[in-house]
Amino acid sequence: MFSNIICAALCGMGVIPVQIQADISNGFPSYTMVGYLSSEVRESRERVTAALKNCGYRIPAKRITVNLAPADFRKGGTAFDLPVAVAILTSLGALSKDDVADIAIFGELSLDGTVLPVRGILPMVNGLLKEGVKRFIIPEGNSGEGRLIKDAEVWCAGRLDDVPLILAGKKERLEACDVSVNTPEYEEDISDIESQSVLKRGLEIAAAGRHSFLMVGPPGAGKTMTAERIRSILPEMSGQEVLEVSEIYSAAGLLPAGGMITERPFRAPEPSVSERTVTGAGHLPVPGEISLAHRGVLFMDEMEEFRPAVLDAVRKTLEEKFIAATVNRRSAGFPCDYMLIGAMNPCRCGYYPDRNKCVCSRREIELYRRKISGPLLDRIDMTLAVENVRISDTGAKTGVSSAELRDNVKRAWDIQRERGYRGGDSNSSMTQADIKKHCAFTADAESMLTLLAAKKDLSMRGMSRVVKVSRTIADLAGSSIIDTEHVAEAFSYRGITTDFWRI
Amino acid sequence: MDIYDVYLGLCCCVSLGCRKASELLETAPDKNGLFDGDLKGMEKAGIITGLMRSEMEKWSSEAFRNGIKQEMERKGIRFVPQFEKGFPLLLKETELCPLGLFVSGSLPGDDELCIAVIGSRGCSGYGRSNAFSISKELAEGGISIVSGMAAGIDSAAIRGALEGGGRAYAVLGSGVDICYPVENFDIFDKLTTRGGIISEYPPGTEPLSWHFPVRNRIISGLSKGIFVVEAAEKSGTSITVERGLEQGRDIFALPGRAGDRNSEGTNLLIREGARAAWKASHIMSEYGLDLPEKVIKSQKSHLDNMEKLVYSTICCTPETAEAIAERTGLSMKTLYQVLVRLQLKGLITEIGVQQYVLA
Repeated sequence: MFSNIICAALCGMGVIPVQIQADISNGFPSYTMVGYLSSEVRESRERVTAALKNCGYRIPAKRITVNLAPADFRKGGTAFDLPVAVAILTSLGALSKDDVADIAIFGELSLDGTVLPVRGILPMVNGLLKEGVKRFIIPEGNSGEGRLIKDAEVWCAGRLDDVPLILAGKKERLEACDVSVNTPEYEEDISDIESQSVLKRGLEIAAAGRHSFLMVGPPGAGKTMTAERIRSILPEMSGQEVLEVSEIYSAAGLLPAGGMITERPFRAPEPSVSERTVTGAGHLPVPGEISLAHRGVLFMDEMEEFRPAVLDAVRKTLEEKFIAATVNRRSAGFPCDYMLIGAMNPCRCGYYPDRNKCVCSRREIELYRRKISGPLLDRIDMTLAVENVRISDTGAKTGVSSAELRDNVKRAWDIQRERGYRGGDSNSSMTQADIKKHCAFTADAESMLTLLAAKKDLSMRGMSRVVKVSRTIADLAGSSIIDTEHVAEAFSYRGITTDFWRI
Repeated sequence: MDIYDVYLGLCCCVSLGCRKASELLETAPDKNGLFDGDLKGMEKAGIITGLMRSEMEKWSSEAFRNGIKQEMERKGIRFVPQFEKGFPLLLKETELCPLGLFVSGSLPGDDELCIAVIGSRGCSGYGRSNAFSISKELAEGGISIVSGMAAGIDSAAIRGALEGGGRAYAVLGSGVDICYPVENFDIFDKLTTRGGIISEYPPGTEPLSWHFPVRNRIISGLSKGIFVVEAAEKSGTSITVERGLEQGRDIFALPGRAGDRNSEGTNLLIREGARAAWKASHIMSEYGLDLPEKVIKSQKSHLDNMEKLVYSTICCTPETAEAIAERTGLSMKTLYQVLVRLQLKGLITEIGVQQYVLA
């Protein structure tokens, strides 16, 4: 007898519905699985037979064929165990075909019949919802993310035995809950940093326009401590953003027990990471570091030490906000709309331009700087000098608190969102057309810009960097028109230029 | 072979070196026949090595000589032998004077007052800006600047002299057709019309490390005085000073802050008796010259009060915006505007990240 169960596979963040078909016919006893399977799926044969046996089902000595369609897409992961078991039970007649016709089932089986959590439940269920599937059985361990699913009937299965009960209507449905958006409490606060008003101002501006920035300073200056605090001045994520980020973490199998990511991600990969880990692209793509930093912060300490391929991937995705990949000729990308924070020393010894300490030759300094390519530097909006950042030992707070800055930043974000940029919803993602439309200057500011461009050798990209940042500074000041003070301040953050590391 | 060719040949056979070449010339019974003499015999007698002999044998072929001369002509390079009029007298009197100089552009005239401005390659902002501005003022006062063309002080001095409308001479440790370091290609071009590029090495010679200390004697030899801007305690600069002292040149040094690594050498020189100089006039008065009436002062009087206030706090050591704000009491907002205006006026410049120095 033949049966069919709905399941799904992830292809990037996209979802491919998978039909799990089982057929039991007379013939020499055998159990075959087909459908372009990776080895963890093929191994499910052993898990399924053991689980069925241990739950009291007897597998008849017949010819069992299991097929996972579409057969031209390579299937990985462990979510197919439970649906395969259910398909076999249905073919055996233990379950009714009509009961399982419109329900999607996910879950890994352990040998004793326990259902184990799997990765990617949230995006897979949401994807199938769009295909018109309304009923789902998910592992008990994934109940957290299950609650986030709206307009669907979701049940949790703790054991294989639960499935017949669910189908018979003898188990409670999972209650959906709303995405809670509270301002997260961060341990680190910007007011822990002693004095440093210029640096704090820089952080505020960067956060307000979601501008990527590079921190340059001698070793031990406090670059990491500073980066860790940027999150505390970013506004909380909207419900939509929480879902987006949670989906990515679900696909990566990194979702916490609560089932939701409510804090903006802060990812700080080591300089030795491979391109694969950072982008997540490969023959079976999983979200990489840049996607895990989606809607949050990607912090690259010792940026110059990263592999050129990694830096190149960062360069490409900074503007595109999407990392493309393909699996079996299907596009399988991940979103990666992150704010980049880089940190590096000004030279190998770290003390330039203090010539009493710095022993690097001009050439060494130049070579050091060149480790970060011009095109990447061009896409980093701001550069901040970091020196002697001290975190107060006594817990004393100085200057503005994160909460105050966050309010300012939030106001600026609201202004930017209302404008409806083509490129995105922050100043950093303005396109040339957006700049033309939304950046009005006073006459003085206009002439200052022209003079700066001519005298200080600003490239086109360099110019638009200054313009974008000055737009943010004006937004923070609540000014719709950009004035000289905004341009002048933006100019001071413009960062690395040709005479930057000159001797 | 005429005597010009003999001198040129002795300079082109790099393996000889200045000392051996002069020796050969002095001991040769017939100077014109030096290259046609018994070279093999000389090698056997241990006067010259095999490498020297093969180089000299090559030179004795007329076709080879013409090839080199044509190449020089094509590149606009002249060879001025020691005996010719036009060879700097000041240099000629020194010990181990090169037998001739290759030059692109011109050589300093005998009535021209030359000052060597030298210092370290890895200089500080303090050294660079002083080298630039003092050389510029010297040039405005009619003094020519002689220097190597290394990064740091040397090139800053040459840039200053050119900016001041004066003449500058670069003495290289390579052939005069090789721009080393490459970053200096802009001044390299200007020097051929506004001074000269000078070397004792024939065109095409690579900038090898041992050439540089040797060429330092030419820098000091061409100059009346040597102005050391910045030097660590032990550096190539001290070689030039030593040669200069042997040649009887005046030594000036820019005093620096005690404890600054780059001023160790100059402060030590002052302690040992060099004249301290931190203004062009300090050097010029030594030669009975006056500074010309200044016009640059007017540039500063254009500044408004706030600009003056900020300008006065910026010096040659990099200063962060935050420190400037603290010292002037200005808000960051105003300070940024003033800093941009001062940068646009070319009075200050940004170095590193958000650190400012005098331009």
